[in-house]
Amino acid sequence: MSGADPGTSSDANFSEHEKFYLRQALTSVMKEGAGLRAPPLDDASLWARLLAVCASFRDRPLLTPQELLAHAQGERYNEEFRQAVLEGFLSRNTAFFHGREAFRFLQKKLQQNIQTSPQSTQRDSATSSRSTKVWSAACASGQEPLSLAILWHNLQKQEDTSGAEFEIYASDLSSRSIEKAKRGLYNNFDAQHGLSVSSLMSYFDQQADGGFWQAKNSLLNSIKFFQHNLLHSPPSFLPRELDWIFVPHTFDRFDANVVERVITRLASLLSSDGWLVLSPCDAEIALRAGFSEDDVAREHGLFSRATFSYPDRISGKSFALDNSASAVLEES
Amino acid sequence: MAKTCLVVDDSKIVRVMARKILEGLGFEVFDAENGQEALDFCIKSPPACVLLDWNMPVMNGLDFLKKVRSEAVGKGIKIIFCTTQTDAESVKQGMSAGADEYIMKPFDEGVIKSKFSEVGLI
Repeated sequence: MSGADPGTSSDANFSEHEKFYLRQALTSVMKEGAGLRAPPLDDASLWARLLAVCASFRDRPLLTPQELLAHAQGERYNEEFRQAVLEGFLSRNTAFFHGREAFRFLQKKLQQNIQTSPQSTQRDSATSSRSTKVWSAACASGQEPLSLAILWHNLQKQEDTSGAEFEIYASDLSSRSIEKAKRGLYNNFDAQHGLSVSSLMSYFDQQADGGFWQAKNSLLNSIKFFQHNLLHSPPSFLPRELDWIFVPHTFDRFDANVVERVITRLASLLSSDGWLVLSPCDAEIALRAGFSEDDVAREHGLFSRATFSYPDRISGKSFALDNSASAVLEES
Repeated sequence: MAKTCLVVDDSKIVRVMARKILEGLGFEVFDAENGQEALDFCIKSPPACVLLDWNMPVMNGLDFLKKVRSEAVGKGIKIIFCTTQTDAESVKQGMSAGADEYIMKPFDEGVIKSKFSEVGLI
């Protein structure tokens, strides 16, 4: 089968022995590279994943599954192989305003902030400062940070936001996802998932062929995009006192042993009354990681930093919330 | 009591698919094959909402929309276009004529949920 076009073949014809190597390689790279659980792979889904991985080799788009097998059977997986596996598994699409309640809650907080705060740049908390910093930490194809930008632009039309700032940071592990997010180009189908027609018409331009919608530069330019692995320390340019971190619909594929550490790290980046946005189904993990339960969290996946305490089992001892938390996490 | 939704489309496949999705969302679903049938239905027993195709025989969706909005019973109905007319000018035209939301075909449950949520139906 060597040299076969992976895009047209429907069966890899791998032996059971070879499939074992491939499954082992995929599982290992997913876990070590991103803390992710590889899904159960029957023969058909293994083949589909392999095609996606082959397509991820940017400079060698015609890499065959057999060449991939050679990588998998090697003593060490090289960086190119690791990255391709992650890209092949990670690329995912999402929707605008996914988890709508979190956006409503953010909007309410911003309105309170704007209406109650004097024209001042003094920063003391997430609810009273004039500057709000938000990180969409697993932004996939970009709908989440664009939703944040739309929310802020809409608010500017309704309220006097002069003197207020809204900083949006957006990252994803997948370089392909970040490239797509930066482009801000969506087909008709994706563009209307979660987006009202009025927002679509206000903030996107339809392409000449009629099949795609391009986010306006005013939105895209308000977002700082970067590639980032949540298992690693965040880049230095990311503020250390964020007001909101969005990571909903992210951890269901993470390895269970890693999630608590990631959530704890994210909590250490929040301001004293900042908010972490997870999925409602992540509540158990958040509780294990040190957040205490409240009604808002339970209902909508929102966790306040004010309810967070570092669990003994992560730090090895109780300690106050300060910058040393990150260092402890690096060691744990 | 379940909210009522009238699905107006000359394609049986679309009517069946929309019915399946909307019933799953708790709506009581009725259907019509063209704008005239839909207009007669709305005047007799106005539904909470209409999922409306544009291009249909007898009376198209745009004409239905204008006519039903001119009737007293039609002012409170939430009307969502669901059409292959996906160019921006058509979207503007449909919204100016009184539509509450606009779906570009093809659609799925996620799109229906999103648009119905936008207009407060779910």
